[in-house]
Amino acid sequence: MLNYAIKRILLAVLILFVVMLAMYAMVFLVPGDPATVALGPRATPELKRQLIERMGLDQPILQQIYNFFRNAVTGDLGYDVWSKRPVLEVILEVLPNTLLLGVVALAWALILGVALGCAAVVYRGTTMDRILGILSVSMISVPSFVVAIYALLIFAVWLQWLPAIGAGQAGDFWNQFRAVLMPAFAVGISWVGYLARMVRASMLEVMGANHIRTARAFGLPERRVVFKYALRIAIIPTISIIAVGLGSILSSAVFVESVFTRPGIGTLITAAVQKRNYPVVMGTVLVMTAFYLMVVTMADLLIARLDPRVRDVLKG
Amino acid sequence: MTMHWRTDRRELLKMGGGALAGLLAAPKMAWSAEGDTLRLRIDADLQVLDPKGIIGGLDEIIPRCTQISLIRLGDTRDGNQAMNWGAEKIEWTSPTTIAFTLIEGLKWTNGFGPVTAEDVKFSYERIAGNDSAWAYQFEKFDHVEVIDARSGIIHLKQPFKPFWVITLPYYGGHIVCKAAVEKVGGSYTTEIPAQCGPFLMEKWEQNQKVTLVANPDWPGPKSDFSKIEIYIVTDDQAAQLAYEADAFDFTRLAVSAAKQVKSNLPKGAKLIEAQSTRYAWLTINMNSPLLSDIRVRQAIQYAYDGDAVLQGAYDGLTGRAAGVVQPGTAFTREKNHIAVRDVEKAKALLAEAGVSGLSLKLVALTDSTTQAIAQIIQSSLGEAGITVEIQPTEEAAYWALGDKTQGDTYKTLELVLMNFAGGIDPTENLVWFRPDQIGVYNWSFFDSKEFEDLYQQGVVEQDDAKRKAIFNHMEDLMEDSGGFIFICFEPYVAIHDENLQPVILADGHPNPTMFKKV
Repeated sequence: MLNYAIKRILLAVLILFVVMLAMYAMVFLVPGDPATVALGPRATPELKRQLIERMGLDQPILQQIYNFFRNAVTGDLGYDVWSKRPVLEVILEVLPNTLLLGVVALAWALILGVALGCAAVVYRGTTMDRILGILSVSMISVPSFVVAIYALLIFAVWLQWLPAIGAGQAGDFWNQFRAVLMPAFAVGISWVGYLARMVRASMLEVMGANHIRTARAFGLPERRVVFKYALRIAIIPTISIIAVGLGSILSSAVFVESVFTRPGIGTLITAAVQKRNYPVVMGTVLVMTAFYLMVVTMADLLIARLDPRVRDVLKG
Repeated sequence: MTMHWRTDRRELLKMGGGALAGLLAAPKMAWSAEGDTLRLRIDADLQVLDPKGIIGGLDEIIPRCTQISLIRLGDTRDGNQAMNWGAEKIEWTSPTTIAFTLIEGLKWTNGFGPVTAEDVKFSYERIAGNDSAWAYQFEKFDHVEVIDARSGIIHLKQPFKPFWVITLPYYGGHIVCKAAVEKVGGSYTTEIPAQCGPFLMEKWEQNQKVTLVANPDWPGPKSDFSKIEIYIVTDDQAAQLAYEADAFDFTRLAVSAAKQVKSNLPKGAKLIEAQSTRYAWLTINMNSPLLSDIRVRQAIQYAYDGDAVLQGAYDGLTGRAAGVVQPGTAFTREKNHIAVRDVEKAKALLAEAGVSGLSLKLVALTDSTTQAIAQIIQSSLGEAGITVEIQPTEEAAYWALGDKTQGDTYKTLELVLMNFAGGIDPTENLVWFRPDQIGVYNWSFFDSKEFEDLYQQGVVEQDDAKRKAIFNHMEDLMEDSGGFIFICFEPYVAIHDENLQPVILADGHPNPTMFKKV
């Protein structure tokens, strides 16, 4: 188990390194001098020179890469070229908004998705199962930004129940809760459908297992068999799916944060790319990739711990 | 007292129902500012607040609030009336001298003392003859003679009437604190070292919001608002929805939204439809080997369907431009030489030039209006046998294409859809097509000595009738070169609270310090 954990962590570090190298390559492949592109055509040469220096682009590329990794190890991701604040501080300022969005989106998707999946198993083969199937596939198909716009129209424009933009006032829980509802709804909806289908498929597989047949033979009620004995095993594959899902949800957040003008990693990286604010781009990609790898690695380790089949394989 | 929490199904449903009922029972609780706060929406974040390096948009709006200029301009819809602002007295004392006296009590923040004539001198002289993009506004500026703490005389090298409207109230005309700027090394970007205007920049939430609060030491006329919140929402559609959800009091809209908003105006809202100073045109690069023959360029001018562009991309909200000088002014050119579309003539010109199967690349920004124009041009030129391949380009990369410091791409561009925010005086719009602007903003490679000579005459000419003749002839030269198709002056569409009286400046940006409650 320890060897497995070490291997997974080393793999995560390697992936992180490759991602950052790829990012550096992309920075240099994008057309145009970053300073001119960032400052626009009316910028003075003096401003351009200052910006190039601030971004460290006046140094050889290998030196830049070396400096980036050396500083990143100590937690120094450089400085935002516009606000001159440390990139880590800028990221940490908005990261909680994105994480809150991801967690709320995933939480409601998980609760509803598992419930719908179980219901589909309880009523399998009936009209209800078919309706739930159609509903789940519909939820998967609809893009999150479409849901975001319609939610905005209904709840903010028409009913004016929820705020149209922003993440709410810092420190005001109720205000922030109301601000996260629509974005989380938009981001999570496709995952409701996806988890429902996943849980249903996984449950049906488990329902054919010997211990379920034994439980039924003892005359236990179907609901008890489903929720107490089948779900406990069927839920394991969803752990890894949830880990992947968190990454996917963070990607969807880019669109949804734009629609709701919600401060977060999505809006931060979009604006940084548009303005060629490379220290923020690199820092954000590094933090998000590290976060994603950490979640996936933890999920893998958790599965290895929970699933006896994986445990046996690891033991050899 | 002990609290008993039950976590059974019934209790959970009860709590969920209660929470939902609470949510439903809280109508009209949208995120709205309270009191006398003015809430505006702008489409891009700030970048450089130093007047020397202002890039546009919010960069210009904030210094209007935090700094002063000697005079300021009124709403463009009311004819851009100039009025005293930082100066209690300012007047032309000769064709080359302007005397001014600053209003009493103007004070810098951060302990930098009173605003002085020395600050005015420093602010202008640091831009004049410099590499600043706004140096052209100071081309005829010589120096400022300081008389006393609050008074001075601006000396020009030559008579330059437009100095009053293009320099004093605009970008480079904002006064900065000499001591504060020198203390931070001679220039700044996002942190203003000292402010003196009616509002102070309180908070900048990057990519989200800028908050300005009334300056308690401001000695001039008080604003109707004690706080200004400027929200940064890049997407026009999202901004429109947010306005309807009462997230702000004023926002500019996409031109394409005008019809829909007009037919279904939100309650309590007013729509502004005006002609902006932003002029759009098609650049035809005469340096490109495919376009070096003037007959080919003229074929494009004849094949261009101006009416289709105005209807298809602008919903008929604006008319065809006959130059780069705004319609409705004393200097406007009457009509284009090639004013009527003639596809047969275009085909004949191509045949005469021995060109067949011509295929051109059209670079266009990615916004919906520009893309619509590009598609109509593609279709109309297609009728004359010219294949147009549209190359949508995001803004940042777009500006690098015609920049000679970015490589040789500027030499081989073919067609480019362009638009610039114009100024009040024609010289502000014509300046970008001078020979020295090739590889900067003159992407047509329009290299006319006659144009340059006329520009120099127009700058110093005092007689308006003569100026009109000069400027119109300059536009004739532009069109006759085959390097330009004048498209239109874009419509300005905005929506605002009916209890608000906004002030829009000629550059299309609001001036929050002049907004009034109705």
